[in-house]
Amino acid sequence: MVRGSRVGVEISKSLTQILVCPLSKQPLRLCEKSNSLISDTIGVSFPIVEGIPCLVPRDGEIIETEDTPSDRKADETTQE
Amino acid sequence: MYRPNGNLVRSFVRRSFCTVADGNLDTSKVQIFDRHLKRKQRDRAAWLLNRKDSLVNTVADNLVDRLEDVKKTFPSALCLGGSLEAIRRSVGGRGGIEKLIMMDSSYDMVKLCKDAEKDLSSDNIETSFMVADEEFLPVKESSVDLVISCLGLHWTNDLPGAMIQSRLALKPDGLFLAAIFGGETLKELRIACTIAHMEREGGVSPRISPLAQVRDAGNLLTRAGFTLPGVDVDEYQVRYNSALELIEHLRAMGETNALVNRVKFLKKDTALAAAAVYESMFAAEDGTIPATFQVIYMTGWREHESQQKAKRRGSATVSFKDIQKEFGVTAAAVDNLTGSLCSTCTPLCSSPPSTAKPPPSPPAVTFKPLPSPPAVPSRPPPSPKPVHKAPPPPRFYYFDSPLDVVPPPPTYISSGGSGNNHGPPSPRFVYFPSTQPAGGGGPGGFGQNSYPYPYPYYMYDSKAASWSA
Repeated sequence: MVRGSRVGVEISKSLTQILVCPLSKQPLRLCEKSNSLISDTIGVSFPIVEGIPCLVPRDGEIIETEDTPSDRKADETTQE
Repeated sequence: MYRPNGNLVRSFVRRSFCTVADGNLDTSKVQIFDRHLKRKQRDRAAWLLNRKDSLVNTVADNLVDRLEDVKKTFPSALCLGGSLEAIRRSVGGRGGIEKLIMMDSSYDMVKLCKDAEKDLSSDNIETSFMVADEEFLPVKESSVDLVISCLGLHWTNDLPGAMIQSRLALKPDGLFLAAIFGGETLKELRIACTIAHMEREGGVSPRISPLAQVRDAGNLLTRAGFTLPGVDVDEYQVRYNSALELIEHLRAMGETNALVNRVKFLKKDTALAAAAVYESMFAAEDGTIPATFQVIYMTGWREHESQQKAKRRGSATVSFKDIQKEFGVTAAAVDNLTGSLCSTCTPLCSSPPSTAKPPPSPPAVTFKPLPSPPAVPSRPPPSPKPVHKAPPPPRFYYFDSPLDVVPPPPTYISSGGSGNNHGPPSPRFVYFPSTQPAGGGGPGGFGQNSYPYPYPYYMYDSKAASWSA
């Protein structure tokens, strides 16, 4: 596996085909800017560290958008 | 080292995480294990990892060996956490694995496997690495052929849920292989800890986690929806020079206590007392102490049309009466037939035909093959009964609510000299000698009426038993 200058982004093709969000089981979107996998349905981003995606729910960060303040939507999803 | 939970960034940017910082992820109704602590313990285990650990290597080898019993090949495999590194070393091309995804909840463990990958690159197996939780499996449905978990699932809060998610991740006709620790694991340590704790502190707290029993393993597999379930058990006895070495080994495997309601400190006195009790009760002649590890291997398949199934209820074309007419000429055959197979027979069936009559001509029905028996979870083979016909061994009750549990009456007490009268004891029994051991009484009321332990009181008689099994 070739290590580019932005090491975090290089996850293998086979992984991207099978990875889904651990909480909602929906497909993930790779965001190169923040070097993370984003789950749009619940608005959480999971970091990728040195090419290893960390999909433990505890590591996920709620995405703060400009118009809505940080919502605890993911909290409600997890505490169902 | 950069930690994935954003500690570095948190001081600069206020971010919110999708779980509350202090609490656990509370989706499962029962919270037995502290998963966050388990991740940290596995981080430590990654640093203490011993590549020559015989127990872990044996279990991993045994598990991967099962792939060779199957004709099918598994091009893509997912390895759930546990002894990841040992599995990776044992796989070596068995089972036709081409793509291996290594998954663990601890980042350090995954990093270790990734760094070790270059030593194993001769295998031509394409490995990918990710960090994820077994209870929240981030794998798409029907995407892998094989799921292996070696000694990892006994730390999940919701084991059926984890198994159901593994099943969903499997392609149809995919295989699920798991090895978990069973109820007999570390029973000596459990006994020693309890006794020492009672003596020193007057109460017990959970030190060993609740572990699955063998009889539950089959139920777990069927509950998760696996077809053709298979369970078997292996007991490994590992010898240590001292009790503290056992604890070191457990730390290196990442198997230390992570119960939610654990006592967060351990007094030095209690620890030393536990070690002393362990050595006095269980030491072998050469001074080494044994520890039992019972491993339950579970096998299950995702459903597929090619698998054998029980026929639909009511689709039988032959009744037992016809079988009797066809084959059951002698009284013995009829008795055997009706007694063992046909408990709801009418009395007419059970009367043996009189020998005066000529043998009946075969009936005109054409036989279709009998329905195959329904797929019940396969039972593990019954444990060998000891020669002296003692009652079945008691369960060890766990310590969540010792006051609620009524201990069963002491069912087996040997009348002294247990070795000579009753033959060699089974290694799972411990016997109660007729004389009270000197160290058994402690502060306050250890007499027969005020019995403090939640399980029947058996003392190990080192002269009688032998650990040669």
